[in-house]
Amino acid sequence: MNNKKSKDQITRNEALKKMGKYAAITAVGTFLILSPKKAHATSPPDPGGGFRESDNPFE
Amino acid sequence: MNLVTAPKYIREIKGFYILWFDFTNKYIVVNQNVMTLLKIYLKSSNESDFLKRSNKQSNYSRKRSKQYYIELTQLLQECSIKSKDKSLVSSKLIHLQNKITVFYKINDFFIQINYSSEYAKSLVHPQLEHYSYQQNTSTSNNIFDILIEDKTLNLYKNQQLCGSFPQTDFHLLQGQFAMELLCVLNNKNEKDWLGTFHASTISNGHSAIMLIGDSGNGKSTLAALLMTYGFDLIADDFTPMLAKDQKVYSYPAAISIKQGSFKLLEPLITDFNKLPKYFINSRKGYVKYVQSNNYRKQQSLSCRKIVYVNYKKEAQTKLTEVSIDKILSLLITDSWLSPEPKNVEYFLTWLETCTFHKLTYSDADEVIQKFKTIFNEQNID
Repeated sequence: MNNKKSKDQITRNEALKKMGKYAAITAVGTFLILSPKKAHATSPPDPGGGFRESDNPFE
Repeated sequence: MNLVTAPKYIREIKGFYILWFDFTNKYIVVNQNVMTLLKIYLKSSNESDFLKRSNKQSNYSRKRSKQYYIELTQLLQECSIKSKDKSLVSSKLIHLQNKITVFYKINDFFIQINYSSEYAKSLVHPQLEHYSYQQNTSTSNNIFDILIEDKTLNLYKNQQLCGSFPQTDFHLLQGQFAMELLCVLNNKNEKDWLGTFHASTISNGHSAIMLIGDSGNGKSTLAALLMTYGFDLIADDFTPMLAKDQKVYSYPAAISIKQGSFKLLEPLITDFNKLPKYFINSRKGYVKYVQSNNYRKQQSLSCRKIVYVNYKKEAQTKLTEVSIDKILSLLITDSWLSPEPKNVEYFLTWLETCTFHKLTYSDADEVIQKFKTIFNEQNID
C-alpha cells in the first residue's frame, strides 16, 4: 500500500472495499461511485513504481 | 422521495446510466438493472411504497427489497452530503530576497516566474525550459512566485496566493500552476474549463485522441513515440477541455519521460542523450523532458476517442472497443472535473459523442501503424 498518497485519494481497491456496504446493489449489476479530483494535478509523485495490475480496471 | 438526495442529471450513454450529484460532484455509473431499482426508489414516497413498487415491477422478495432500500438510501445520502472544502486564506506575497527569476515567452505571452530556491525551480522550470527568454527589464503582466515556506509550497499569481500545498504534494502545485498558466494563455477563467484530464493527447492536425492509463503505464512514452512519427502533441499528462466547445486545448509543457523509456526513445529523438535528466524521487527515478514538436502552436481540437493504454512486454498490438464504465472508472477518478452544473452537462454531452478503446502494445512500429489507421478511420467518420 502506498503510504505517501494524499488523503483525498483512494485506490480502486479501496473503492471496491467501500462498495461492500452496497453489496446488494453491486450484485444486481454494474455500479460505480466515482469522485473526480478536487484539485488540479500532474501525475502523483509516487505512483508505486510502474503499472499495478491489481488496479487495472480491465483485468 | 426527498429531492435533495436525487441526482441532478441522469444521462444514458451507450447502455449505461451516468448520474451526477451537484452537492458533492460525485458520479454514479450503473447498468440498466441497477437503474431500474434506482428509478423505483426515486419514484417512491417512502419505504413501504418502494417495497410495493419493487415487488410489482421486478418481483424481488420483500427481504431483498428491504436491503435495496437501505443501501439506496445510504448511497443517495453519501452522494448528497457536501464535505467541507478547505478555503484558501487570502495572503499577500512577502517580498522575496535571493529569488531566482526566469522569464518565459510562450506564444505571445511573457511570463515571469520567481522561485524561492533551486528546489522550487525544479518543480516547474524543466518542463518550460524551452520557453526561457533572456530579458533585462520586466514587462510581464503575468508574474508567478513559487515559494517554499515552512514545508508548504505556495503559489502566487501577481502577488495573490492562489494555491498552498504540503511539500510532499508537489504534483498539486504543478497542477494548480498548469491551470493558472492555461488561463493566462487562453484568456479564460477556471470556470470556463470543463475539466483537466490526467491524459496525454495527440493529434493529426484535424482531430485528437486522448490516451489514458495509470501512472507508469506508458501514456507519455507512447505520446513521445507518436510525436517522433509526426503526430502533434496537444498535451502530456494534463489535458484541458474547454466547456463551451468541448475541445481539447494544447498545454505547452514538455513531455516527461521516465528512465525506463530512455532506451526506446534514444534512437528516435534527436540529441536525446544530451537532454539533462532530473531526479524526481527514489521510486520514480530520473526523468527527461522532451519538448513538444508543435510547442509554438496554440491548438484546440475535437477529441472523440479515448484510448486506455496498456504497455505489455512482448504483447501483440491490439485495439479493442471497451464499455464506457471501464473508461470512466479511470477517467473520472484521475481527473479534475468542474463542479459547475453547466460544465457537467457539457461533459456528459461530450461523452455521448466518444468511443472508448483499450490498446495493448509492445512494438513501436506496430503501434504507430495502428494510430495511422485510427486517425484515418476518424477522418472518414
